[in-house]
Amino acid sequence: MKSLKTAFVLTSLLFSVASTAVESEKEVTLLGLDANGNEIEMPVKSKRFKKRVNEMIAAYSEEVIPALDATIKSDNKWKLRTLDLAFSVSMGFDLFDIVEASVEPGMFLRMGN
Amino acid sequence: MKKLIKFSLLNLFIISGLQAATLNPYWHMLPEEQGYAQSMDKADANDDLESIDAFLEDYADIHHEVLNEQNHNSADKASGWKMKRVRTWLGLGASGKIGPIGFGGGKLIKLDWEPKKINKSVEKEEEFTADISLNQYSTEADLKNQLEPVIQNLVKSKKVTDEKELRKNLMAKGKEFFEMSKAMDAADEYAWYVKVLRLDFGVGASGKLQNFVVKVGADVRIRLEWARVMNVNKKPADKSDTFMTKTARSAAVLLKSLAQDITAATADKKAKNGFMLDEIRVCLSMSAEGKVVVASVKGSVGPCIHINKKKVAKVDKAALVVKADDTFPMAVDNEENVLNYAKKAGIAFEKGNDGSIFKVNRRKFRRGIDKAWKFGMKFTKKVNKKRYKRSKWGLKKVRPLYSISVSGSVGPAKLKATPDLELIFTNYNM
Repeated sequence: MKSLKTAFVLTSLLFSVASTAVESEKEVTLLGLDANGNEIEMPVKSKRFKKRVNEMIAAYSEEVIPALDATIKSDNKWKLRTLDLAFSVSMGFDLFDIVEASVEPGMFLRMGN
Repeated sequence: MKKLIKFSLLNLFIISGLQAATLNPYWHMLPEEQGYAQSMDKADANDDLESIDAFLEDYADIHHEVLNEQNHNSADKASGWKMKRVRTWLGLGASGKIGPIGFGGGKLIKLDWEPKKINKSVEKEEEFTADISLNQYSTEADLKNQLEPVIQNLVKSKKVTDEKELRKNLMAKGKEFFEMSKAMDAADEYAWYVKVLRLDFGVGASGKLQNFVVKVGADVRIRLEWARVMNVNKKPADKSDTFMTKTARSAAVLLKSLAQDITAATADKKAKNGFMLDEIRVCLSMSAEGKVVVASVKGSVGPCIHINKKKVAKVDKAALVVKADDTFPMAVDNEENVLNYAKKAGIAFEKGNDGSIFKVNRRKFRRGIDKAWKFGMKFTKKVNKKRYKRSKWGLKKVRPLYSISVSGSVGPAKLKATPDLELIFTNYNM
């Protein structure tokens, strides 16, 4: 019991020191529902959130769209003009085996040609 | 030792979660929610958004940075493709925490980002096109002519195996929708009018209609839509039997109440931060007796009306006055806390097997709309700061979603709720 108390104090102290020292490391809390409909929360560093959103959008614009475009171009009578994409952004991490949850924020993207 | 490490990590995780943005209870706690004091709605309650300011600024910063980076993407330029709109959204947890959410769960707010230099025609594009399109000139025969190909396609594609069941359900739903659509011009004298009546639903393999939840990879979605068109050369449909059915009659009474209440609640509201409230969406349902009511029911297959603000309208405030006990009907799931609250607060309701019909006070609902407007406007201010003036992207639409309380009060929709009301603010500065 004593060691648990020590751990609590130490990690709390560690967290407050870390958050003061690294001010730019802001957090975004991802929200979601698990399979049983219970709310789950997942804090993610802003930098990581931004990186993953950036990667997902870039993947669609650099890989998916040129591929689709090339397929449609084989039929000269029609041209692909608008594309609506819905996707979720996997943050791809877990806290060892302690917290098992997955929250993937969603996004809609409209591309036009 | 292993236990100690696990506990320490879990502690770190919990503490870091506590740093999350939490919305002030004044905004999100409805009277029927457990442990809620009614005084929250009073003027002395703390209605600022300071607790989520930092989060919103960070969220807006991230999206401006990401979207501006995409503009420089050489692959887009080479292929001729450009991003024209990005929609992101946030959710609200039961305790008031705000954060990005996925495709499951009710949304708190939808944010439509657009490049500042864009072809104006893009604004009018819809996310989905309707499978059945009706307007004020349509007849029941037009509806049947459009439904038949939908049925044939679903059977042919083998997405539905029971054609008989599908035909029965689709025709009944179509007829109900058509009856409702007859009443859409019943409230044209107010500053707000019904522009669109829209019904989205899914179809199961057995031909049963089900609530359609937008998710990635969803299979069958059908949209029925009634929308006003301007055609002076066309003869209007015969409306001699318009109000012969209980559905059309009750829809007309309800629409009149809603248009009147929205007009009264927004009469003095002006554009702020470049944004103006120009559309409100309310979802409807059918009572067991076949009357049209406002819907606050999880998983129901009911249409939503899009009530738009007229560009020019003279508001006669004297014509907007209602009595203190005037109400409109709203269908709500039979949840114990809601029923208990209604009994305690003296709110009249008729209990049914699947849900109850509550009499919602219209004066309180008007105050609820006012509160919803304030919340939306505060949000537009927080996410559309002047420092983004040089950004190539901006927020075109801000769409907060709300739950309507049986008391008439309104609060931002939570993750587990089905939003009943949506306010759509448009940025006219871009």
